[in-house]
Amino acid sequence: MEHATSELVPVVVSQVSYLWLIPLFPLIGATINAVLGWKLQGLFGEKPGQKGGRGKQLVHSIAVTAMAASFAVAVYAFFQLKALPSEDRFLQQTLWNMLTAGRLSVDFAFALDQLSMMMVLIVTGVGTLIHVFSIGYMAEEPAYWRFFSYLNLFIFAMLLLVMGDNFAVMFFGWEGVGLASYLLIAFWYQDKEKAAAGMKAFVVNRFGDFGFIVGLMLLFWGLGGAWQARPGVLRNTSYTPSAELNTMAAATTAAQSAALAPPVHGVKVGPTMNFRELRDQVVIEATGVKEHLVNSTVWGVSLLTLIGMLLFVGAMGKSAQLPLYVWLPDAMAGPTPVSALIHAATMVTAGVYMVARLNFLFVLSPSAMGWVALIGAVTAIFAASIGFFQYDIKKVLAYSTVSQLGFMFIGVGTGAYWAGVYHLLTHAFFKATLFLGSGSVILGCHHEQDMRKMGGLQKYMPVTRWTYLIATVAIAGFPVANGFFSKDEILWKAFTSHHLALFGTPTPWLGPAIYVIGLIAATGTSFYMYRSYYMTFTGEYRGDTGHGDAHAAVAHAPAAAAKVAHAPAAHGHADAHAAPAHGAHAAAPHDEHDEPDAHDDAHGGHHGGVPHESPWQITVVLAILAAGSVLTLFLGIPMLWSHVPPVLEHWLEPVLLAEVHWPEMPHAMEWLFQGLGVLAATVGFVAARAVYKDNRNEQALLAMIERWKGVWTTVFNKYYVDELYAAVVIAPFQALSRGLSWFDGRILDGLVNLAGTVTRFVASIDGAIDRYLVDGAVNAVASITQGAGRSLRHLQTGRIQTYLYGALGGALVVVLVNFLLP
Amino acid sequence: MFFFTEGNVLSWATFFPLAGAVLIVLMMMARAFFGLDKKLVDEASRWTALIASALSFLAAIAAWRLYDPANPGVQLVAKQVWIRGFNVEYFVGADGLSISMILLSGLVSFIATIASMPWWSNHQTSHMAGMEDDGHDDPHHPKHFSVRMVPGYMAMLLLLQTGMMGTFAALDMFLFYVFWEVMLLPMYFLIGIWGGPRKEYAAIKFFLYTLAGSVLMLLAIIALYYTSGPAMMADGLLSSGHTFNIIELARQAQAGTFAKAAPIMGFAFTKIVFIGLFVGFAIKIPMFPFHTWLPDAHVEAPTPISVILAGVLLKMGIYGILRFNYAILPDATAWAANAMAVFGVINIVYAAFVCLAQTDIKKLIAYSSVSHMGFSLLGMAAMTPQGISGAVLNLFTHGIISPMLFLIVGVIYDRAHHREIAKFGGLATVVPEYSAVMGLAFFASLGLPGLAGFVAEFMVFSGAFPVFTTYTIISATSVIITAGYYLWAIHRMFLGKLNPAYKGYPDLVWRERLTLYPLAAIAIVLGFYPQAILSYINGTLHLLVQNIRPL
Repeated sequence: MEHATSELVPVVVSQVSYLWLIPLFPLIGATINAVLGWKLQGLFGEKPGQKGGRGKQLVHSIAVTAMAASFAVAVYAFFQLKALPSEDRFLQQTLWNMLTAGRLSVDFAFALDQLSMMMVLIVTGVGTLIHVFSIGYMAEEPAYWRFFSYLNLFIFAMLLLVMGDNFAVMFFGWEGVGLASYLLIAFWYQDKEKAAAGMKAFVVNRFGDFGFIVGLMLLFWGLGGAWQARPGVLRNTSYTPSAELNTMAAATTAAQSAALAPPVHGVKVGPTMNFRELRDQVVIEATGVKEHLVNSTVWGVSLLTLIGMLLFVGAMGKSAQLPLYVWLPDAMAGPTPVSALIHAATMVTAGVYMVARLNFLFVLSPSAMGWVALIGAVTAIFAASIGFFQYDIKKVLAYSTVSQLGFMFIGVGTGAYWAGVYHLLTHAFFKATLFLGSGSVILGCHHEQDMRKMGGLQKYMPVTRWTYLIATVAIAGFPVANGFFSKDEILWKAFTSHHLALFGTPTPWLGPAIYVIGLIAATGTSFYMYRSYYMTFTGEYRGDTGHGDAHAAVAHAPAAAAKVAHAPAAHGHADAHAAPAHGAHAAAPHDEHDEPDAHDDAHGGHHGGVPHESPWQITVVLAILAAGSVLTLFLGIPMLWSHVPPVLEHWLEPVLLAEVHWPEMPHAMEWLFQGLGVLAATVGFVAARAVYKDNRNEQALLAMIERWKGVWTTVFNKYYVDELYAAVVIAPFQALSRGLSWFDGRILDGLVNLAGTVTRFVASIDGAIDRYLVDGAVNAVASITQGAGRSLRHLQTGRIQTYLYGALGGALVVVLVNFLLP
Repeated sequence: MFFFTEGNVLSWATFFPLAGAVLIVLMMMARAFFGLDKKLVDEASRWTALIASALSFLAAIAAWRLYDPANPGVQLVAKQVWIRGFNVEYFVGADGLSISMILLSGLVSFIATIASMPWWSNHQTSHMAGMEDDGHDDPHHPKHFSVRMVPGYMAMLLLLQTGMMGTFAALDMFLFYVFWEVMLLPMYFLIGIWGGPRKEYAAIKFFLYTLAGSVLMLLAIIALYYTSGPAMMADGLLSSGHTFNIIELARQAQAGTFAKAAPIMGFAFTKIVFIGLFVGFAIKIPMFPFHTWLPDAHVEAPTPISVILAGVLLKMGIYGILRFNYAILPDATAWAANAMAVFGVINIVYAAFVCLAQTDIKKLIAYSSVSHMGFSLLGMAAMTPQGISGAVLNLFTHGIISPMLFLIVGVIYDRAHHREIAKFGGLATVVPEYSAVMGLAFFASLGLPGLAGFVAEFMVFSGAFPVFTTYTIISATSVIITAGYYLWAIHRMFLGKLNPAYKGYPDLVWRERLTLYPLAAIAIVLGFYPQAILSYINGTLHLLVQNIRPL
């Protein structure tokens, strides 16, 4: 990716007025179905237990029409974009100024460049297909309207995320998809476990958001140089950041805010939330912003590294990387189309998208890149290893998704941005196919998700089988479908990257090390995917077709782990029964099954019947997506083969303009590495085939598991990460909250009440003093006076003689006193 | 606009409710003298309250429309000499800070008045809430507050509204203090008479606690008064020596009058006065460690009173600090900024943790208010444009969201007569509409982008980050804890299998919808277009902080 860096110019923007329609349609669909959906379903009739019904038709027509309209506008935008010269492909629309305060001015605005265009096409295109799939899959659901409303809401939020012109709108979408994901995972909320899975997803993602917000703030203020102004250090003087520049600049309106930042070399410099303004000031070196950022340090750490790492923490949450991946496997509690759309094709790739969007920032910090790539690689192999031993078909795919996301982060981490993004695209196709295929299987097997109770489905479900196989070939990495091309490019770039760092110093061995980890993970990918294919589609059908022998057919769980093994299965097939959840409006008590509550006895044999192929809405969608999994390979034919850059790389080039210097490598070596990639896929394939095809080596496998029981149990229980989280995060949080609550109620409020009590006590003493001392004295005076009066009353006899005696006595006293006193 | 003019609109907003209260008192007297029917007087007083409150709200809207956001100074002024001897004026007016609060106060008061009515509900819900007025008041089965001693309640409610509106509109310290105290009394009676089981305790605690703050405030006000110089009064004559005029005091502060004042007991005058005012206001915010009256008051207060308490009364603490401490004591404010930020962080994180441990949903929400008020403290302590605007925007958005939360609690309390989170379960199945509104309010409160709460939080973070980096990072952890306690509450109350005890519970009725939906709509609109409020408050606030930390 060599670019003529000196010629970079500000992005040329084409203002258009229709971009807002793309997210608007799904929003309208979501609103109609949320407000009126249950009425439509009720009004237009649906007898209990009856599938479909006109009300439901209306509901899904609204949702699918909204999606199709949105997709149509997106395609129109694509053609307009394509007509522009390659460097100027940037459509933008500002709707209104959302908030302004000083230098912080955020518009509610959308933008489409090559990268977001690709994302929008995936989101609306694959999204539309998955809506159609859901018509078949959710046909029996009473709360049909709610499902489609949430699904449309998700698309709306996802479109905000990818089309946002600035961090704020992106974050609106970022959290919006989190909300939609929460609602959809907990769709069957009557089941407490599923509801808890939704909660877990949201809260774990909030850990990521915490990092994201802090990273964002760091970037915003780092741009303004609030950290340290270094006069004399910067060679370039056009951009002299200073703390005061940002903290105190007051502005009330967007125009005033813009006036605070006079353009430098035609570019607005300083703090911004806008991607384009950020890109312009960073990549155009004349502004001096890049120099400032690269030289800044915070707390002794490179500012850019810290920003990169913190933003990546956000990506860890959304894109399920170690250590925040734990929510994704649980998210499988949601309906299968949701898993395909949100937890495979679109939302979980948001983190990858974000890193790719900010490629010009990440590339400035080799350490941030190194960590992103390393965490991606470790996640890839870690999740793949858990995937080896899962029995729930959706759980296998969930761990596979975590692992594939790890691959994408290897790509964007090493600087092979286009390869990471390409893997995002190919993954959207093959993983959607796999998830929807698993959905079809689950439907065909009457809501069974345990692969041990499947088997032999190839003869019952041919379309599902072939599409699943094609997608498996794609993900495993055989060069006949898209997965090979993206994965191979990522691994090759990882091997040849010598620019990564971990702790600020270059670590040239990191690239090859990541390559090795990635290659092992790729082998594992091939193994667990073929394992799931063989367990599901080959051999004899092990499910219950009427003779109710489910327990005996448990393929290879040793006694020790059997109890644990049942848990996910029981959890899984509760799907169907929790469905009457929303009976409140829809009035369709789901009487498809005889004993709606029987799922409590984990493996009860009431799922009678032979598996069947799914309805056309499902098979057609599967076929289209499988075709996509093959056809999209043409977007990424390597230069080695065709001597021209891959189509997608060429398309994305103006966006992914990060300069990464890849050393020249001999062509032979590249061929060799492609060969190694195919070899890895083959090894996984052969191993899985040997063990699982037709379920023929069951005994040997059981013996092996018995031999390595400790390891097996640990891996089977997902390395006890959930338990670790419960002990290390949740328990301390709860203990702290109880402690503080006690402190608040007993100590703080106790002090207040104590003040009250003390006051009352003092008051009562005061009262006593008042009553006995002060009042007592007053009363004493009164009673003495009274007593005196009473005794003196006797003197008042009324006889004249007595008074004369008194007067005489008085006179005598006066005379005596006169005499005696000198 | 109608018959409102720039000169009278704030007075109308303030005194419409008082007029209503007087009317109700007259009706009560008429009932005593002429033996009018109780039902008739009850209904008449309800209508009076509703109309008076609606008119006051209308006046507040008119004030908002008449206010010119491009001018950051004081507008909509009405000024008369009130007590010549003490230099007291009737001086009301609005700047960017108070206009948002006046609008909020009008709105929340009106919503609370609607929520005080027993009307617009169906037979089942009225029966469950005990709203049927059969003329008896059995102490063992206490009636709903909306049918107990109705005229008294309505008169108190209106008096409270006058106090609130006046507090925000007053620009004379004496007048401010009068309105401030006018609020206390009705609040005391509203909690103490129409409240829950421990109402006397809660009411007395509220009253004494707030009064203790008021005393400190009064001393500080007197100190300011006697230090101030003379000022021109409304009648064109110079005041005799001193002034109560807040705007004039701020001007004198700029000139250094208070900075030069003689120290009190060896401490700088401004610092002592600052602390007196600050503690008085901090109790109202409520700021840790003065917050423990709030959960008790909320838990015992009837729903509309909780709505007013959370929606308006808590805002007065921050408002007062900005109006007095920031404007009149800029030096001391700069001195205290760090401490304010620390208390803000404690409020945010500490209260969030306490929320996590609550078993009573109303108490949980009360503590969440404590937590959210911390954002305002942190933001205003930073004294950056984003921080201060975010702090006041937070007052407004919290004033929209927390009434929703308390109304929501009221809905379920009216039906179930308890608030224990653990005793509920699976309510979403039986009351879907209620659950949807609850979800919206909870998510708004936990700061979901697209709803009002987020923007204020975001602005506070971005404003405080460069000034108090570590504090901001610590308080940002609240995004995790907040999500935790709200979602966990939703999980325990609304999800899972329906607790059979709540089978057949009625969903929202029109009275509840009338109160909840307008607030929900505002929460969504402000989530996407916060500039609607920001454009009014920015100018004034930025000037305010520039006085403290000049450019």
